[in-house]
Amino acid sequence: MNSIFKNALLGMFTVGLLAGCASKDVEYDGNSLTSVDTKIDRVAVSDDKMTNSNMDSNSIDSRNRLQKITNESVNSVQSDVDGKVVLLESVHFGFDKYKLSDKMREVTTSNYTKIDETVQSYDGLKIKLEGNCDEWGSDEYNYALGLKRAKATKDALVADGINAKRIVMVSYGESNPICTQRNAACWKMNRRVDYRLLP
Amino acid sequence: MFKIILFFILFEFAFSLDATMKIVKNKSNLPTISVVSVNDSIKDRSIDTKLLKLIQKDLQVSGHFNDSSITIETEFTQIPKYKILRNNGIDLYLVLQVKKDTKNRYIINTKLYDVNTNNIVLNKSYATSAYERYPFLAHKIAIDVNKYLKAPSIGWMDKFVIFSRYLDSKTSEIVISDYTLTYQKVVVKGGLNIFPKWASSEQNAFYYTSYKGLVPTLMKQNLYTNKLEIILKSDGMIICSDVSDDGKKLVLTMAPNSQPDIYIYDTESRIKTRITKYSGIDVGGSFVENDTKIVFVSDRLKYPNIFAKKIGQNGVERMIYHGKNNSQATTSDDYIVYSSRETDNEFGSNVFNLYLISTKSDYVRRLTTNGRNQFPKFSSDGESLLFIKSTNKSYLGIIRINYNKSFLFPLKSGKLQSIDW
Repeated sequence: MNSIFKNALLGMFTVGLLAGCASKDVEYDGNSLTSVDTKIDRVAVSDDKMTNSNMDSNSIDSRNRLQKITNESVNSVQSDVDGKVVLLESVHFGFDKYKLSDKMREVTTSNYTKIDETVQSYDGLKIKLEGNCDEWGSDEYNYALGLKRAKATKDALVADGINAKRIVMVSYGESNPICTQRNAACWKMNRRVDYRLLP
Repeated sequence: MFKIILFFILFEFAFSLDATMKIVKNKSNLPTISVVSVNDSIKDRSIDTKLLKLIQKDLQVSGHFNDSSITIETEFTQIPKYKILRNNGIDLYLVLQVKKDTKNRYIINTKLYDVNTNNIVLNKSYATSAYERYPFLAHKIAIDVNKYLKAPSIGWMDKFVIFSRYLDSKTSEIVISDYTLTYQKVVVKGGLNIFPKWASSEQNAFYYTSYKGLVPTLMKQNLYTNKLEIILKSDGMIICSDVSDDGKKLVLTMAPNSQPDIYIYDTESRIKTRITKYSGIDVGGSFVENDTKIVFVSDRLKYPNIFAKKIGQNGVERMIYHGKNNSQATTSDDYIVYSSRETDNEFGSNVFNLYLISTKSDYVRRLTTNGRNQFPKFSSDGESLLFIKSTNKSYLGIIRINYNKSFLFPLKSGKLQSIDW
């Protein structure tokens, strides 16, 4: 194999030299001008100008604030529903896992109670579940993993009595960390599902 | 002429051998090239220095040249001193001259000399109106020099790379660049915009996932007209993972029923077909074997691994019998490159390395040795591989598979999310 490759490379070199000898093969086009501008000049820039009416995640986010209770490594999301503040604890997951632990199942039940109270007052309320991951794994897989975490949380909410039609899910993969240090405690905080209430 | 053809056939034969076989390159067999810049008419000398370095890098990346560290000055209009060049072991001598014309364009005049035959073999000029576009001039010059050698094409060098980079939480932008990341232009900004994928080999349009709305949305944007189309929306996630060679079919990961599965979307009929139906995670599909089969990532074994499925059939075939976390794959003809973590321990070294396998044999070839190497993407000719390397910084890596060479190009700011070329 190696000798073939060496021969081939030697051949490549010799081809170059032989081609150089054959003047009729010589490219000599000093009068032509090759420009790189054409394709680049035409490139347009988008500022994400979509105007679809339901594309309002930025305004949603401005009404929701993430609160970190750092000494317990627990974080919650505060939603403001027409002046009523609802604090919902995020649900955390094991490394590469998307099943709820017993402890986290208690958290989903606690969150359900708060959501159910709010739903009684605001019929049109929607619940957005945002799945998140730590930085390990491929990005595409992490978006799927985040979705499975959101789905596990949704299933718990539905089992407790929330109408599935009220729930939307989004996976942010590893794009939405709440802790950016590179250690196990930090990665643990990032493997979570956040709840946001959308009036 | 017969010798030329014979040698060329030998060369092609060598490069058509199984790419999983380890090839050890003998540098002494490669022609040595010296690249010099002779400039007297421009005030800003930075362009010719940068241009020169980038051409040298391109020739190095090609794997077809030895770069000479010896610089022998010459005048652009004069014939070089062949004897001195020969005595210094130089086979090819490339001279550059940078000028500005009356329209204020940069003009790069080039002359390539074959030192062993005392001949000028290439005399060509290149132009650009904007300083920052010099990387594409460098790549075009390197491509032409390589063409003279009749070596395997490096035409991919002047194609666009498209990538998304994270800037902040839920914030990223989509950028087009050259393969060295030297030239960069932002084409989508504002919010979270991820997984850009060229819509065809012409690179006129690209797909990407936008998070502007309540649910993730697959967009198609024309690079030149800025025309923006909403292709599909999906609760939870939607990603365009691959595009068929004719650009008519997309492999998507989406979750219309809250379940991430692989779908094929026909861009003409606008019909989507569900390919996988597993209750766990199926993601990251790509076409293989003339678009009759999909290779994808699944957690069917309770950890991510690479599987394949014939389109229209039920059976699923496990492709990789190695590693604890194989969460990405790219395909080219009968080859698969995948990213694999050696351990499933969260607190272990957790390195991700790239491996190459052939679907026709059991041989596994390791392509990287350390660090986090992910998001492999084959070049269209299957001879090179683009990937993301992450340390404290993000790097765009390129592996020249047949040459056992790899190169890293740092991203100055942000974190690389995904790439395509």
